[in-house]
Amino acid sequence: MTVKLTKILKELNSTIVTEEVFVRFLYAVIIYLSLLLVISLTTVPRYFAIASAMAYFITVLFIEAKKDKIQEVEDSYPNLREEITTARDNIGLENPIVDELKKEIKEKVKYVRSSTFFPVKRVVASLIVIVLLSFALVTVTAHSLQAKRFLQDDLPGMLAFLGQRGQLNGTFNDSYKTNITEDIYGNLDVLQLGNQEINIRLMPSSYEVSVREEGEFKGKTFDKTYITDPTAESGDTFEENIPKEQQDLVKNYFLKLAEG
Amino acid sequence: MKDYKMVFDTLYKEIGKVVVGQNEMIEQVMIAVLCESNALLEGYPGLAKTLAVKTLADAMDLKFNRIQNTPDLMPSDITGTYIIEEVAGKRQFKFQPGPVFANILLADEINRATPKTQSALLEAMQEQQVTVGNSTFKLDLPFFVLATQNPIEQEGTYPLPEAQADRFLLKIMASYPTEDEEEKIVDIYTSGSEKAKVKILLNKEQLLHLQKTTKQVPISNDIKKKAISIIRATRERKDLVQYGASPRASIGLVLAAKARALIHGRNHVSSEDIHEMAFPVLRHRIILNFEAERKGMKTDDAIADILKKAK
Repeated sequence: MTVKLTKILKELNSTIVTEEVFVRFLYAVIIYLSLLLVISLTTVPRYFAIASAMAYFITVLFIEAKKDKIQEVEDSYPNLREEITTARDNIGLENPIVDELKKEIKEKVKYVRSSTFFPVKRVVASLIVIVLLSFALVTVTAHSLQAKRFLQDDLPGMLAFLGQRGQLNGTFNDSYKTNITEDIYGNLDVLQLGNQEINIRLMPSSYEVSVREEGEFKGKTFDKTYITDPTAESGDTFEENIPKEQQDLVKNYFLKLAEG
Repeated sequence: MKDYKMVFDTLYKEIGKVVVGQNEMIEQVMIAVLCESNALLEGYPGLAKTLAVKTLADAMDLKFNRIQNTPDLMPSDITGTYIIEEVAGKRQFKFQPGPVFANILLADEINRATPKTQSALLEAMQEQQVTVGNSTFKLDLPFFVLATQNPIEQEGTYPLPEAQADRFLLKIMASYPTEDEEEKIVDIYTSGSEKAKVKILLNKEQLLHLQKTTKQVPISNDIKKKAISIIRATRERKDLVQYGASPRASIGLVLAAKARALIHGRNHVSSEDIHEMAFPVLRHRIILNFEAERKGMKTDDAIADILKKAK
């Protein structure tokens, strides 16, 4: 049973449309990844990326489905030039010449290869872009990079460090190579050891320095020791009374250890 | 379709034994015959216009008549008239058919006939019948009129009005032969050899079948729209054309393209057919404006410009 020309033309058209839709799908993935990359650096909700990509894909799906791909076949195969469109426009006509035209097209269409219309360059380029975007996205998410935080916090800090490093180099020893901030090591005057003699007992097993034995606790007493009503009026508190010089000594001790 | 091509190629080859060159003219005359229409043929004297048409008629076994138009030619000289005939002692009127009762009629120098005589011929062309007195006589089919015009010697002529010229499908231009062709013509007609006889390749029924087949050649919507847009452009291009072509030209262009496709053995009309047939279809239907004529443009130049913009 001979296949009808309409069926052949429909199959031809749908094959080419399918290939084009595949390419458009890759473009949608590129759009998704690009938007996701930009969104990852900001605080914009991530569903914008998938929504935009889907909107693009659905739109092109509708547009491509309505397009006439037979012209592409005629452009690619000169021996079919103007024949397929003529046959398609006169599909309802029954006369010997139209019948002969339809028969001729059925024969020639057998040699039409769908691979002719597959846009290899566009697909390869799209895949390369997708791979690159994927790498970029993984990098951004792995380092939790955020554009706002980077611009507001990280970048000024980096710039400040670069500015301070010039000042600090004149005070510290050259062997002191680690980053120094005031938070951890305190003020510069801490490094002055002073001339006061103190007794320190070092624990050989744990390197702990007990400085509590060196001072007396300051006691504070309450007027009442029992609770007559739930409201507390006074109480005893104890706080450490370690002399500042000895606190400094401990600090310096650890500093020296750090040096070592 | 290849069979059709073979038929026409053989026909041209057979005509070529008598008429050297003029291939384009013969093809366009054939196109007009296939379209069941008529053609204007313009060319200088001595270009084998009459010979080509007569040879074509011989090859198709069709009755051929020639009318030499002059200013004193009467309509009855074309259509025929009643004569008194005596039969068995009784006198009665008998209709004597005129030269129009042929299959192929060559009306030489139609622009020399008076408008009244031209109208009689044009009526026969349009209606394919002749009315004499109260009687109407149908013309034998196929019926084809080839009217010639002499581009020189325009004095004392009655140029065909545009409305009448519009009834001709094509205006065919006969051109001078090439040097080789002219040499061959001289050899044939000065050697004293017997004039070649043309074989009959087609008969009336086959020609009628070909005319019917011509209309069956399919055309795509895009090409049809292109043809119509070309005709419409002749009306819209006011920078070149004063009066453009009528819808009759749209019909003529599509039909002529179909006939050309059939002659070339194609089973569909191509853009090339439209492009090629635009010139003979349009050149007698458009009137250039003063600006175009001032620039020295010919009608074919204007048509070429319109075709270029239509792409």
